Amino acid sequence: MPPDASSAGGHLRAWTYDDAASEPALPGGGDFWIYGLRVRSEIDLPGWPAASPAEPDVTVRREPVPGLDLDGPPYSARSVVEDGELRLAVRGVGRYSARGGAIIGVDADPGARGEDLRLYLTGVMMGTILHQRGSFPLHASCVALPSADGVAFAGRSGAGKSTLVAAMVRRGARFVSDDLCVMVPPASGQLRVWPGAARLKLDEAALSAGPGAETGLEPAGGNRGKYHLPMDAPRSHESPIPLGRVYILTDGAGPPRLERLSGLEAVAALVDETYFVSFAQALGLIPQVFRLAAVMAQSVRVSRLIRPRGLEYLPETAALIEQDEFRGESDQDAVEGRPA
Amino acid sequence: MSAEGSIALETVVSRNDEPVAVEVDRTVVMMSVDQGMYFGLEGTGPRIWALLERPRSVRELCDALVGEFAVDPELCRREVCTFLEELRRAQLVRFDDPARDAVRPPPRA
Repeated sequence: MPPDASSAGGHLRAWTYDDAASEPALPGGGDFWIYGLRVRSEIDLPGWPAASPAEPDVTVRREPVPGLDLDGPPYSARSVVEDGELRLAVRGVGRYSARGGAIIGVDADPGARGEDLRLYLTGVMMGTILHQRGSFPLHASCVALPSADGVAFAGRSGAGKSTLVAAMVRRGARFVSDDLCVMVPPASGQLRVWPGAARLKLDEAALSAGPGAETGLEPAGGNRGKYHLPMDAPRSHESPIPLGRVYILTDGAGPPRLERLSGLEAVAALVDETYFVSFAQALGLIPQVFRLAAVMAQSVRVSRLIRPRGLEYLPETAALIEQDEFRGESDQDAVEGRPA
Repeated sequence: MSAEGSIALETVVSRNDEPVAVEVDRTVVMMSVDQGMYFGLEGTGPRIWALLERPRSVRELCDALVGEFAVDPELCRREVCTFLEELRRAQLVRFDDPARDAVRPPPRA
């Protein structure tokens, strides 16, 4: 996971160094589909579906990214925003820039690992591009239930999104996306989200909950000891999936339970769970994020899913999602405020 | 703009520009980036907010609401004034008192 580097003025955060298996930053590249966008990349992006060569929406270039000095331990990060361009430096990985919703610059550190370069490229930098394009990236993982619509699990890094998706897939759900859930601008009718790369990022504890020993998995980059677990690819990367429900993963003791959120609570929760909302804020895009969160809240049911982290109640949690039924809401004649 | 002072029938109420407002589930949801706050208007709140698309006096607002909802005019006036005071405290609207503001022409009667 990318560190939570934030704010226009830059911000430093330290991370421990994990000396996992590595691979060199490979040259190569090509055309890929990423959340409904054609991306022409000078860096290879294994795991992302190939796109036929056509005019790209987004171009990934290897180029010098100046003006971001950074000290500190590996994976320390710092970001700046200038004239609508966001630049991010990650110690031991490289420097990136995102501008105009169309161009990502990558300036790799000598010896940077390929999986690290790609992690920040397809994660935080692609998320920034989506914000710049007026899109709505939710920090969520998504599956399609056999019976109904897509459901998304939103939460911060480590909240248990991928673990829950793995459990749902084992019970028959279809994988849609991991970590980012990108809304298609709704023309009319149902809200839809784009499929992502067909893999889940899981740590060893979560992998051990699977049916068999998984060996030889590709490291997912970063310092959280996560690996890519391959998933069945969606039927088409060009066909978005209808989304019916969003669950905000919330820590709490005891058996899992659901709390339906009202309009205000739903919009506030979706803004909170927006992918790198601090970068959107630094880019001056919070009003856009708010409007798009409201569009999502108008079309999907948003609930808190309250349960302890980890594997303890995983089957009960999955069953609760499968059985979730509509619950009514009450009217209140009041103005209520809450901190954003 | 009168920052303090009580609300009167001729007080003109205007939306502040800053908050971004959208309607979700019959609630008007607003976000003030300046204040870092969310607000929700429920019940008749969304209708009052819609009427405030242009500045209106309290009298105008109450006349419109009494015409739309089966409500006693005096009760309506009291409740609307309470609600508008809440909106002002949340910096979602501002009050202009034409009696104290010589620059502004009085609202039409």
